[in-house]
Amino acid sequence: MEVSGASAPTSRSLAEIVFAILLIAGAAAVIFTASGYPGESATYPVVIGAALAGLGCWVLVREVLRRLQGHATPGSFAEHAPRLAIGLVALVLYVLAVSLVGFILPSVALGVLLPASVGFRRWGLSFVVAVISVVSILLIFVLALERPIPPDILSPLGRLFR
Amino acid sequence: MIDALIHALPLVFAPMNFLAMVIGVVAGLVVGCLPGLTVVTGLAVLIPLTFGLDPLFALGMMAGMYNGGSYGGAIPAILMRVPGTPASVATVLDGYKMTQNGQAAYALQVALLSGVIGSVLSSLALIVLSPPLVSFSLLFGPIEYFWLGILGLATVSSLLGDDLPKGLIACGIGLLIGAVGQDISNGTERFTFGQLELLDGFSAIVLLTGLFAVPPVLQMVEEAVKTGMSGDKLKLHAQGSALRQWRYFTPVWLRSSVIGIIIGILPGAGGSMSSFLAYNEAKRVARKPETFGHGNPEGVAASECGNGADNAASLIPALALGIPGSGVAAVILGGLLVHGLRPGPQLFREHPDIVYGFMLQFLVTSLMLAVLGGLAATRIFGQVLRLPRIVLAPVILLFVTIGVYSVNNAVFDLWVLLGVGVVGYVLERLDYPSAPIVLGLLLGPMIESQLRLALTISGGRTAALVSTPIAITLALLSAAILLTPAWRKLRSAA
Repeated sequence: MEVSGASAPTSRSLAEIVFAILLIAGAAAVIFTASGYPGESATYPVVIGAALAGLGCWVLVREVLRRLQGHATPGSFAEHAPRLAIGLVALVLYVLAVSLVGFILPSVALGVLLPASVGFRRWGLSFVVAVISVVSILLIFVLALERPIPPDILSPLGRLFR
Repeated sequence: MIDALIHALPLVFAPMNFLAMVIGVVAGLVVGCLPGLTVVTGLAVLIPLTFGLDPLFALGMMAGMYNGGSYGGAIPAILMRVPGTPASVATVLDGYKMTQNGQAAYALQVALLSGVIGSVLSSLALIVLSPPLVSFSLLFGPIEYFWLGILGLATVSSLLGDDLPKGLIACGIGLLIGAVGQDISNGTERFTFGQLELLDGFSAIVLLTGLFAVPPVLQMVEEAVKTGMSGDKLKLHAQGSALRQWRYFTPVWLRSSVIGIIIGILPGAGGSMSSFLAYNEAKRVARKPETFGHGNPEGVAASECGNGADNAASLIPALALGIPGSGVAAVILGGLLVHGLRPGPQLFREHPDIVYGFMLQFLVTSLMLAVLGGLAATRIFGQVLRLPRIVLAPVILLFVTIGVYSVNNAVFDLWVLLGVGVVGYVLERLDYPSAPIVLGLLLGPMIESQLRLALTISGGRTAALVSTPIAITLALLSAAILLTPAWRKLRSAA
């Protein structure tokens, strides 16, 4: 496995702290929002919010103490941060593209470009696997099960063959 | 029970439902044999795909995937020393040594046969033990159901791993997600922020899929494994029959099956625990324990039989009481709810054909595994291992996307999937367990509604919550389960 670009050993500990802070903030927001609900509807989420805030504090204080004692949780948060970023961006772009132009073209593009963006250069294999997957999905979902797929700019082409 | 089973038989063997089981087993074998993908991931991908289909078609696929995936994990464990699933870790110990000794085909055969036997006995246990448990649950009212929900959540403590606060946080997140949507008792909108899509709460399918299917995709991208398995390793030659040696293996199979079934029934246990316990027991009673870990086929048999035996058994408390025996059972429970099937006496009373059909599907897919997972099939499905894993990451995403979209025909769900997937990834990286989130999500609404109902009936008296023997027993049991990890810790410290 490549090691270039790997996160620093303390990133896991930092991530523990950041997540705990976000959790406490989220729990506080839950309590604040739920307090405005009438009686019974408020009790349940307020209790859970309070419990989450308390548990978040537990994790936060524990990790801070560990760091002070020099025993911070070891390891890195991401196995390979740049590739993780690529994966996340690809996911966001894919969902965005699906909502704009439909399922077919973004799916083939994802199947080819995602492996390529992390260094896999066997374009032919990626393309064949992506096309087979998309065609299989269309055959199973659209033809066999008559289930909907996101509105697609290629849909008019499909109607020509019916 | 016999009548219900007889009525369910034609439904199970209806052509489409039979096809569903075949597809499920095949898909399970593929998912199981791919390292990094677990049965839970496979089910998370499968559940949205089956939404809107006939329940027995969907459940047949789930049963097939559970049993197929259970054995599928043994293929890379034996051939590559890479356990396909956590439960096949113990199989590596002797299975890979057998491969190194030139007995790969024989090891696969032993693993398959043992897995089939474990799964069949487990399915029989499911059929025999679930109905009595359901009869018992007929004694339950709102108070008892409240405590049953609490007991279900308490089992979280055994799914927590080593970190109590993190497990409880995961459970709390699940409970909170379950609270989103309109409060059915008074119509108050909770955490919907004006979004009509959230009025009925988050879709359980979208959440399960995001939580379990997206993180492995991100991990595959991070790892970026660009090579597949060498084709030479998949050239297997006939090396004798494990079936002919049934006398030799029978004691191992029986012991391991009993262990697997018991562990499967216990909430929160199962999976890797049953295979390791079965392996250790086989080693303990063996005449030559020193041969374990050096290619002893009994080690493979014990591990795989124990692994297979906890599959259906983990659904005994899930179907009868709504308490899943494992993470996989929790996801299957979610799958049942998605199809409008709420576990418990009502399910057995109103849909006996479906519930008994589902049990029979476990039995049939166990047997199907013997045919579909045979050595020839192992060779064919093993070919998937030759594909570089980075190529499979987008494929999984495509299936997940289309499945989730088709639930509500809403792009909104895709964004929820993405958000939950990213949160799921973060939680996984920080060792927050995912199973308690599912339990919280599934049990939270039940606990809240039953508590309110119980308090309304009793005129607001909280003492009524411990007014029946069953309620007291369930409360004590919950406390005992919650305190067990702390007690263990104290004992080991002493």
